[in-house]
Amino acid sequence: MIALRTHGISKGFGGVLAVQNVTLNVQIGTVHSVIGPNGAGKTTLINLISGIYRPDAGRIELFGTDVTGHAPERLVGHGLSRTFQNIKIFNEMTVLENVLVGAHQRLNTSILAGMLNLPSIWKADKEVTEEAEALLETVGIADVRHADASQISYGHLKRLEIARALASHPKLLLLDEPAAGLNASETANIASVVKGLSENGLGILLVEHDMSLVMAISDRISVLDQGKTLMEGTPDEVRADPRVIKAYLGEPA
Amino acid sequence: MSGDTYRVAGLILALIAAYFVIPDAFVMDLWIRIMLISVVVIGLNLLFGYTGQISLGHAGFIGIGSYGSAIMTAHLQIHPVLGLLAMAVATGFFAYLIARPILSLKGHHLAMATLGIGVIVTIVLNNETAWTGGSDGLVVEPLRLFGGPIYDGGQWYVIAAGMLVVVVWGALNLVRSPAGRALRAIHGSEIAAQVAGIDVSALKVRIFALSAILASVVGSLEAHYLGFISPGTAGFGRSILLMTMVVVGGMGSVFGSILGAAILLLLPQVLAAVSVWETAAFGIVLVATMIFMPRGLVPTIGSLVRRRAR
Repeated sequence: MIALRTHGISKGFGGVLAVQNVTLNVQIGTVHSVIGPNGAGKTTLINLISGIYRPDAGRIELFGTDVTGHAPERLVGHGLSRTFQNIKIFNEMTVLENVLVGAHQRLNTSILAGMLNLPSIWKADKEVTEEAEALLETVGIADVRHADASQISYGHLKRLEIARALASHPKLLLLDEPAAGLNASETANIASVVKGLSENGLGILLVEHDMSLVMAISDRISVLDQGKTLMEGTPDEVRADPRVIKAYLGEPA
Repeated sequence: MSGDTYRVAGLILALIAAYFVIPDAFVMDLWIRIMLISVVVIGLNLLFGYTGQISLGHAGFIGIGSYGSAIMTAHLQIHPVLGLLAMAVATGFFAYLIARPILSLKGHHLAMATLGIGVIVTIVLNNETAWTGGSDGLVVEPLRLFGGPIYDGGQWYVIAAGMLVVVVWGALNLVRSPAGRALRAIHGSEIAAQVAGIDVSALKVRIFALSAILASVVGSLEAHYLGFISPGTAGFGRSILLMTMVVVGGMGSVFGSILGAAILLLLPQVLAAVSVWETAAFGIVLVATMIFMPRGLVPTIGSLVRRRAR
């Protein structure tokens, strides 16, 4: 089943085409990576798919539904969730509360119900809290769950982003450089978490610079260069393709 | 959860105890005004301290409530309680209408737009002399409850304390609820909040309207309590004072709102002896708070106590 389908999406910023006519399909239960040199348009692509930017042209489908131009909060209802390359954590909240925010749409979020502290509110909250603690366990940062998010390390924040993104029960997860700035053991942890999620049926779109991570866990890889899809294939096909090497390293002198 | 129950119980006990140790009508009056304004500050703290949306025009909503109630009871012979409720609904609706375009602004732009709202309200109050009495102000009828008018300070104390307890309880519940977490998330990162599924603009509008409604209700009560209102009640200086109360007491602290209100209303009394230096001392207190306790009194003291306890 196809989780995500983009049909020739494009986005320009003041005359520079950051993403040009990109088409890709992400199947559920697979890891689909997007790689490319700096400025290839990878983050713009994720911002388009997650509704932060509106495409100038093209169409985006989630599980067969056209969601082009939908606001980010509406896409959550279609099973989409994402993390950010430059961490966007809610600093004045605890680690656990950050994850609970991820479950926003699964809870009664009426202001009045909240002020009256209706039993339905705290019952649902208790359930979701247990689940959030399990998610923190999964990504391996349960020991800091009551710490302020501003107090924890960079590696912990990266994993907190993933736990928060999972709290909405997504069916498609966009990961924007989840391993950037992490050490080898932290990266290995991320790799096993991501692989485990895809084995549980999640579709994953991964943008990442760490090539060993990409090659180890990807089922498909799209290579972007200057906003365009250079090629798409399996890790082995990508590794062997001379165009990819040229895009990264330039022409041989 | 239970921690909040103890806090509310503590507040109730403190308010009851305070009632019996108040020495005279002057102190009673001061306490009533502190409790009333605390309710506005709690609403503003939900908007500014928790959600991160500045408003430099909140006294405008107090003014709308005050004048609306005064005019309705005097000219239309409407019962004060009905007038208060009608103004709460009207102010909420007005705030809801203006909030969407205003709250799409950020930072300085939002500050300027809300400042503009307050200024416009003051201009209307000054110029519509047929209804508002202009700069001469307006005499307001007393509040009537259970048939009779209420003049007695003790009765007003009970009304103000009762409202304060209810608002504190509701605010403490709110900030722990999913909606409250969403408000704090908006403060942290609007983009991340949206991606987490929060309808950021809708929630900002609702919390703005809620804080405006609280200001309007306090405005109505205050008008009946004081018996006289003038455009200064909605003025820019007062909007700034409200913001200062939030900042000194503590952004993102419900009890800090009460402390902030108390300090800034008591300060002029304490400094009355050195009246020439009042404004200077006022400024020193503010600057000192900002330098030594940038998070405000209650959050700073709270984390000090927690560190000691460890």
